[in-house]
Amino acid sequence: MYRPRVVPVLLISNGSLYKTRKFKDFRYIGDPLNTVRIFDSFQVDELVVLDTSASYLKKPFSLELTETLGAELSVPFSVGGYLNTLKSIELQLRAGAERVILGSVALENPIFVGEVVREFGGSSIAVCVDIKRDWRGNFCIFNHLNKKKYPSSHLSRFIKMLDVASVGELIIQSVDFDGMMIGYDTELILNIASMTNVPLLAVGGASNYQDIIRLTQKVPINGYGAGSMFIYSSKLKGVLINYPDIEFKRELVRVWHEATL
Amino acid sequence: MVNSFEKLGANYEVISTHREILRACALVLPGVGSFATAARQLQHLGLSDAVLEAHERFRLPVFGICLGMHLLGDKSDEGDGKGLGLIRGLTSRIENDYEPFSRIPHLGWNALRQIHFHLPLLSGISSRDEFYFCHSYHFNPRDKSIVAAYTNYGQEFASVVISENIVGVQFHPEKSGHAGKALLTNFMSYI
Repeated sequence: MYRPRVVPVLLISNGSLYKTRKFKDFRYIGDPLNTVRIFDSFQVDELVVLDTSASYLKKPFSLELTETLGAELSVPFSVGGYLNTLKSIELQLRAGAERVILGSVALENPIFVGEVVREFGGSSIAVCVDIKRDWRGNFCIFNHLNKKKYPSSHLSRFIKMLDVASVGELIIQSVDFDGMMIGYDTELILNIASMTNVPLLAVGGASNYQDIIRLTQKVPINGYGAGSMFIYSSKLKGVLINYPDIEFKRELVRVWHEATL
Repeated sequence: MVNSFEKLGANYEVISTHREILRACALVLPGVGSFATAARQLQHLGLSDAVLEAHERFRLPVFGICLGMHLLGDKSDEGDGKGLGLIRGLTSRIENDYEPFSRIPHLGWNALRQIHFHLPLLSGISSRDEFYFCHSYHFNPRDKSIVAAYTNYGQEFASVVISENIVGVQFHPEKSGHAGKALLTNFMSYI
């Protein structure tokens, strides 16, 4: 039976792993390689590694790091961070990345998304969208580079564009719920799910494994991502890398398939 | 793929010429990209002819993965171009009417429903083992008897096909953790 993925999301800045709260307070975690090895030993479903300093520094995700990840991991991993040319994307895919994640480039140059899909196939591409509520409570795309919100009307146009382009996956990051550990932003996920037929990976807010079950009961999606949850032991934030066991995976499959009926 | 073979201690080489194909003991066709681009490159570099010749003359084993599996067939809905035609069959888009199975690609972990048992390639692999899938198209062989396993995503489709020493798998064994390693090890001892 089909089983959706449970995906640790690792953020890298200037070569180190870190974690944020609402995309603001930074907290250093440690050396990425060690963390990655531990996740490989857990045989995670997939790993997402995002270099958030890349766009500021205008330096693409480190190819060397991708090669190292490819050598260490026996499970799939996706990378993202200032990958805005066909060549840089090709190099990442050859180096072993399962999927390349496009961020700001998709916002700034939507036509490029179509070009990438045509060249590498939709399954090789994911687009990551950061979404925040405006003061009226409407969902808007948030550009982390200039800290600006796009108008709420832009969101559905953008999502539909990605749908038409047939990207492999849409990663929805809830800025409001990021690092808060209060559960997934269900309202946001339901909203986006109704706009597109592309597989969805939700990120932002998960505090414990049951949050994944709770989201699935409302809207079964294809990937449940989290940063804090798999890295910290609790709300008190002691670092303890963890991942659900086979019993949980069985429960998730059961709940997921029940939710589809 | 390279990393997987490296870890398994296989004697492998990434090749791209006609001559290299004729010298190989087995050929692995990995699967990233689009059918049209891959088919065009295979034809353009004369590799299609080389593969067919090597298979004809030396019974070269061929292992197609994901897109590589689609390339074993004749044509694909995904794009123009001819596949190798080593296994008669067409590749078509996954079409499911209802949510969430209407979402494609089929992206996630899934199991195999084996049809034939005791196949060397699937030795040690059970219905509890999961493999990593990421595809929007699936291969439909004309001769259904060569389907070794089906997988369900809204509908069943062939996930493993074996025709003599031509093998196609829809999932990515190189990304499928322990189960994938077991399958690749079986393939290596099988050739």
